[in-house]
Amino acid sequence: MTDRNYLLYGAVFLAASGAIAADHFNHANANPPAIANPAPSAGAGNGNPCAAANSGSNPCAAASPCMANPCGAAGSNGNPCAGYNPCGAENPCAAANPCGAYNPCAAASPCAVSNPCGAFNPCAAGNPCAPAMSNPCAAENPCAAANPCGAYNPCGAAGQ
Amino acid sequence: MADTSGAAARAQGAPMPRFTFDRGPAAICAVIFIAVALVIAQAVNLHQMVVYLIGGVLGLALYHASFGFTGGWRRMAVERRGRGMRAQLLMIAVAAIAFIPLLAVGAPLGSPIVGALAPVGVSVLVGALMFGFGMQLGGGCGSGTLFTAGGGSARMLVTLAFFVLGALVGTAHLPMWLTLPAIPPVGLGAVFGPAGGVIVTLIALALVALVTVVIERRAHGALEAISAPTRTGWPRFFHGPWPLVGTGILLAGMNVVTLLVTGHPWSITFGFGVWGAKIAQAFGVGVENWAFWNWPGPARALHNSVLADDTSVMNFGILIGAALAAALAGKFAPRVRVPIASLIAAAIGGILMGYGARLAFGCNIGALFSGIASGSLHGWLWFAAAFTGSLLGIAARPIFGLDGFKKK
Repeated sequence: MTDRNYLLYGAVFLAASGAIAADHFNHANANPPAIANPAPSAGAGNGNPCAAANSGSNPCAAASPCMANPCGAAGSNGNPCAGYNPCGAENPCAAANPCGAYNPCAAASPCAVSNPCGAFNPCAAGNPCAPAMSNPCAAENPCAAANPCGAYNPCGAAGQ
Repeated sequence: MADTSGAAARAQGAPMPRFTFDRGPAAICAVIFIAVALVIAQAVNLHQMVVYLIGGVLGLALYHASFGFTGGWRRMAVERRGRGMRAQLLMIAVAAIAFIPLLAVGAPLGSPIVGALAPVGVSVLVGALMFGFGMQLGGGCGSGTLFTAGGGSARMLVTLAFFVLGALVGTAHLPMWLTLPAIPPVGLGAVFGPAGGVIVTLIALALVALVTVVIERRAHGALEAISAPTRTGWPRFFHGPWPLVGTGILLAGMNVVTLLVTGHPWSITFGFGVWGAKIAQAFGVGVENWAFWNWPGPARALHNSVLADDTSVMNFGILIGAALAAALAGKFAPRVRVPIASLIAAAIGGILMGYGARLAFGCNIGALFSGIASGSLHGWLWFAAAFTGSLLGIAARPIFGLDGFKKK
């Protein structure tokens, strides 16, 4: 066995297993936290998915809290949209939208790897701004109170 | 991997080489493989266990066939031998035949699926260039790093560690890179229709393959002969080597399965970014305040268990599957003395790959394989830039005592 790195790999495996277990137990039972506000923008490119440039589609689509099922039994205690309320004082909608230019549902997209569009796909052929009946979260949409779609209709003629 | 000795020996009536494997490590790896599957099923759900098993099959296949992009590209550049590259192109072609029509359907099994589409711009160009350069120093690409590290290469553990670091740093800078010029994603399936998209993709892949054939014939007079395998049947299945073409087709099929099961194509490097962010967070770095980690998908991955992240779980499967394959082949974790210069190259290569993959929306799997198979134009830009970067990387290898365009 002296010609093999069994000890090294054993140690790596144990360390990795411990780290994964610790991470899982730390996060598995935690309430879904409100997503922190994006850092104040000093210019374009702070990653705000609600950019004004993305006026042709539902600015909440890629960031829909319905993906994390806040309407479900394990839903959050507060408005999951609170963290990025485009109606807030700093108006994060002003910044450039990193998701605007490309498909936020793409596998390698920084906006979604676990497919935030899974439940209602804004990238599907159908209109993501379809009536509430096709949006399973619409009836109790936690975004309603801070609905950035309220002030202007992203589901107008230019909607995806 | 050419080895004609077995064929010649059999022709003379000699027995097949014995099938030997590392019994202890093989048993341990098999137990770990199954145990992890059960843990994931219990801790998360059956769906995630399936994702892990898909990764396991990928790891097994990648290792047994030594299906690496890095070596294949280097053989093409240095030796003018294109068999490895052509196997990769065939793999992408087979996947594209399924991907593009499925993506046009949108929800073939009821749940929406999305392809690996991304903008075509400066970040892809620069990122892929860096990745291609890095993969030649690091000794493997995204999938190559995983299966060789899982198979027991200590050097590749170094590459992997710095790959994770590079990916983390990439997430800090990506918002800035995305402000640079780019055109929106171009999906060939959307532009030409599903059938047209498939045809255009296949023609383009065939043209690249043709170029490799022309180069190889000019250099050697004929294409490389495929030597007869030294093993057949179950011994070959468990011990390897698996045939490149057959494995490429299997990998294409597994990517299609990934698409249908997870809703998105196979990707690797997002998982590295998640690992880096979680490790950094554990050491008090406030990554949760970085712009990238406030975007919906990354934020969800950061705040949830790593076992809930598809990409991470598939990566775990690849690592353990490759370990099992190596143990079955009797090659797990060989102790090899690695010069310091080579370790430095591994570190630099890893960082460049991690950072570059973040900029370029993926690695050889996420951007090249899945991107082109999805009909995304960015995949082609990635291919061209990464191959160019690889040529530069090959030229830089001798600085670290590695083989470059000339053998040492």
